[in-house]
Amino acid sequence: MTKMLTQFIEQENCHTLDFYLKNGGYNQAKRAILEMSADEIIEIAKQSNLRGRGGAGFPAGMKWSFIPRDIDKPKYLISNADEGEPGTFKDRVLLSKNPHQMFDGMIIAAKAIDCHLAFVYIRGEFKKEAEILENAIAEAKEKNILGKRIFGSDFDFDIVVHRGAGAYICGEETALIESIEGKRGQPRIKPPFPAIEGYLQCPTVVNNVETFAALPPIFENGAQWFVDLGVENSAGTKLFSISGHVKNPGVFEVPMGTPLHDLIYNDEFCGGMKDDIPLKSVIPGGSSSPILTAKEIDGLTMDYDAIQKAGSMLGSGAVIVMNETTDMVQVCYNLARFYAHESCGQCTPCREGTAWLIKILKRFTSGGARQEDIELLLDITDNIGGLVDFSQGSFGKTICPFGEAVSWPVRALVEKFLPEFEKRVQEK
Amino acid sequence: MALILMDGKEIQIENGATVLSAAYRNGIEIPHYCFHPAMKIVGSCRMCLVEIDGMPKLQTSCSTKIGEALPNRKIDGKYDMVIQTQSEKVKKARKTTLEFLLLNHPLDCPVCDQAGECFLQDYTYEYGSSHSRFIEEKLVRPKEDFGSGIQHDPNRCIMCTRCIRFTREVSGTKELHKIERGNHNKIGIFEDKPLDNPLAGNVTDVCPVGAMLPKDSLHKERVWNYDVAETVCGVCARGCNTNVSYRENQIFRITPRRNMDINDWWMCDRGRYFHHEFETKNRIETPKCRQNSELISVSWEGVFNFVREDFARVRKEQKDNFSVGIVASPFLTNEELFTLSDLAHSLDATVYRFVDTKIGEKQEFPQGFKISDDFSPNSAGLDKIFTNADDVANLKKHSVLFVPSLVAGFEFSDSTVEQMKKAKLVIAIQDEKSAISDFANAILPAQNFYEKTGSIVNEDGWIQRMNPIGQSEKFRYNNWEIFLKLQNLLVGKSAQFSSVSEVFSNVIREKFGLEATFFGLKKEAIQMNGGK
Repeated sequence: MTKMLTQFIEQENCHTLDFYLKNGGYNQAKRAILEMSADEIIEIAKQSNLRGRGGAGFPAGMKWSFIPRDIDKPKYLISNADEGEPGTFKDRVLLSKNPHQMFDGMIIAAKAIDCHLAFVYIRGEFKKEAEILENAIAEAKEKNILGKRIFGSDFDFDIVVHRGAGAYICGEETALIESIEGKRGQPRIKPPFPAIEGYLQCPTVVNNVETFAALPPIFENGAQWFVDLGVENSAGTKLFSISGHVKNPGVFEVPMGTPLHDLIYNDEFCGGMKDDIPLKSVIPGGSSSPILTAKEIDGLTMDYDAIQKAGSMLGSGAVIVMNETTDMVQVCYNLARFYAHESCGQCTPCREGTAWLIKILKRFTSGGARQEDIELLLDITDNIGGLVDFSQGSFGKTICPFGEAVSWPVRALVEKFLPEFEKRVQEK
Repeated sequence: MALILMDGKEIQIENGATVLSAAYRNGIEIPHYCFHPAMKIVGSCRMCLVEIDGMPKLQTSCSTKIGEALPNRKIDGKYDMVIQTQSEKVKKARKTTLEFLLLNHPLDCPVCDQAGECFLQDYTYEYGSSHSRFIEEKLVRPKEDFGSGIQHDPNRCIMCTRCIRFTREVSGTKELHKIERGNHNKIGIFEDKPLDNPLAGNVTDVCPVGAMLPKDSLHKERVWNYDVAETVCGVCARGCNTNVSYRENQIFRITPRRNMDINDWWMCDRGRYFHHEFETKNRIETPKCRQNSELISVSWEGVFNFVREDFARVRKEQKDNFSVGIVASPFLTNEELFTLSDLAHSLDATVYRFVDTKIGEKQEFPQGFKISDDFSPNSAGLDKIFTNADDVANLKKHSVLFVPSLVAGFEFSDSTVEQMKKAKLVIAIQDEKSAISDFANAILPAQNFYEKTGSIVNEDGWIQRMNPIGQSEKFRYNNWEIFLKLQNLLVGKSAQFSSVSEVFSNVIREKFGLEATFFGLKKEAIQMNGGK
């Protein structure tokens, strides 16, 4: 099976520059800087149909093409390494085992948007990974891969590592930008989008770690190669971080369109359910994606379209597997509590609604739930994040997608596991 | 220009206007909290959501700009945007946003000073629900003193952040911050840096709810009991437009009134709280005259008779040495100064200019709000009406002297007072007892600047109208009438003015070379050198 991101992670010193160079590293960055034009780079990225790996799945090449060319302002590139979505731990592997591949991709993207200073915004808890990045940058500077006139060209490019302070919301790109600017991390109202006014009101592109890391193989093997790896609308391979009640949780790189069943049950991956207790439900794309029942994941393949059709989303590729012993009311409370804790508090529905949700859910978990609370829970999720209807877009009522991120999973849990919630009412 | 359809109404509007401003300019109300025209748009309260054709999400009308659509994107072939502000979706969004805002709100309107002018109250009546579905315990946090006489109640706060943005963008002092996160977030200050700037009081005005209240007027009166005088602040030459809230002749608070030519939406704290300077027990309420070195209260007729007789006596005694001095004050209105100048002219008096009022510090804030260094309201008007007044420091010995009120913060120098004492007859037109009262021969009760009607000229030449808090019946004579009366008394004739607006028309024509009506001035200030 083709791997392009994690093929070396088991090997010793795989994070070093020497190792990376020995395996053909930075050839594509060098080629992009010395031989390719911005248009050519963007064209390849578009043809490859590389979609953002952070969760939203926005085509990377398209994002770059929004950067205005003929303006006086500097342009900035940011690698979003604020991996905070519960269940997600894939970027951490790339950052610690293969940091140079991300830099490689960042250099390619920098050439595409004419950027000379980039940031890696890494979540505060990733102290060790931040050190690895710092060392990797120092190594690259020594070899003229970063810094002034890289690869002997007249192109300057530098990368700065910026550590966050642990807020989930700083993974949202505009909150991330605010945070880099030294402000309170809370999302900005859009428009203007970062491509027009991002970091310091300058055009800015924010891409996920995995997105950048996917670029060198694409440029090495060609866009079509990447498209052929996956399925329709979902090109390439994807990292899935699988956790929960499985025998062998971990990060697995597989082509888009791989059946979820294989990921959970094949010995190559998770090796089946832990203690062989049957599966009850799966969160397919990080905590903010609606939960899917055992029935719904029957025959499900892991690609954007298939998961959307099943009523959820691929998100960041964080699969949380739950077996039949799982208390879904507790799951719901736990998820909601996370979101209530992480809400930045800027807009009304999210600030007030998330706190209200956990107060009600607390009554479901520890007594005092009323029958009408079920209807109330659903109504509150509607009032924060809107109804889940992927065919018509989102109806969220908040500045950023956080509103949807809390509403969708809570709503899905209540609707799909209604009897469990109703049982708590009767228990009163 | 773009053509939009809002609630079925066709509206022509310039490109780049926001949906909210298009609505307001066309008489359509869209409720909102965080939006304030002076501040950066944050779109966080989610109260102004509207439905726009072609957009699945409701949009914040404060931040959504209207622009011409491409020909093939026009709706019904002609509209650049079709907006609904009253659809079911919008109504539900408003209702639920209000429900959210009220979850942890104490609902303590009966003891909240904001009640009656509270947007949370108003919008809840208009768009909200009459019952609550919230049965949980509310979040309760203690009130805080932010400094500058401002009390913050985090329980009433709706986190619109207007106050934070005010201190960042308007006053530029950045004392207020958002602290904590999510439902626990609140407005806060750093321990060692309280709210402390000359414009601090404005945060109580920008606050749409009762979260920021001035301690100065806290729990003293309900807002619906106030009478309001729309007037102009008299504490510096800026002339900020203000609303004076009063009841039964007592001023409770002063708040700024929008005027984009002069003060935008703001006023300084000195002007806001200056009315307390007049709350002394030294008020002169009846005319007084000095008999056998004792000041005794007399009737108006009594004091006028006294002045007339003493004036004649002094003139007779002094013969060739007889001279009259008049001190003109920039705390007087144009109308008062005009009748005073008539009096001076008819008595051939030497006119002196009041003590130097440029005792302040010129201040300008980031968005352009200014505080003048001149702590009097009408220096410009005085300069125009008395073109060759001498400095009061050069006061000569006069037989008769007319002296106006002193205002808090100003004193005549000792040497000036000594010089004044040399006059045979000192006639003081005063609102409060002062150093002058100790030796004045006659005192005529005057109106202070919250009590009189008239026009003043600010440092930029704007002529504006002062309006009194409604207690004119307390004064038998307006200040300008006193000067006319004195002229009639001492010279035997004077101009015949029946109202302040008549004096205004005359002073404005003769001294400023303008044609204007006093009534017109109520609506709009005029600029001295042309302009409006």
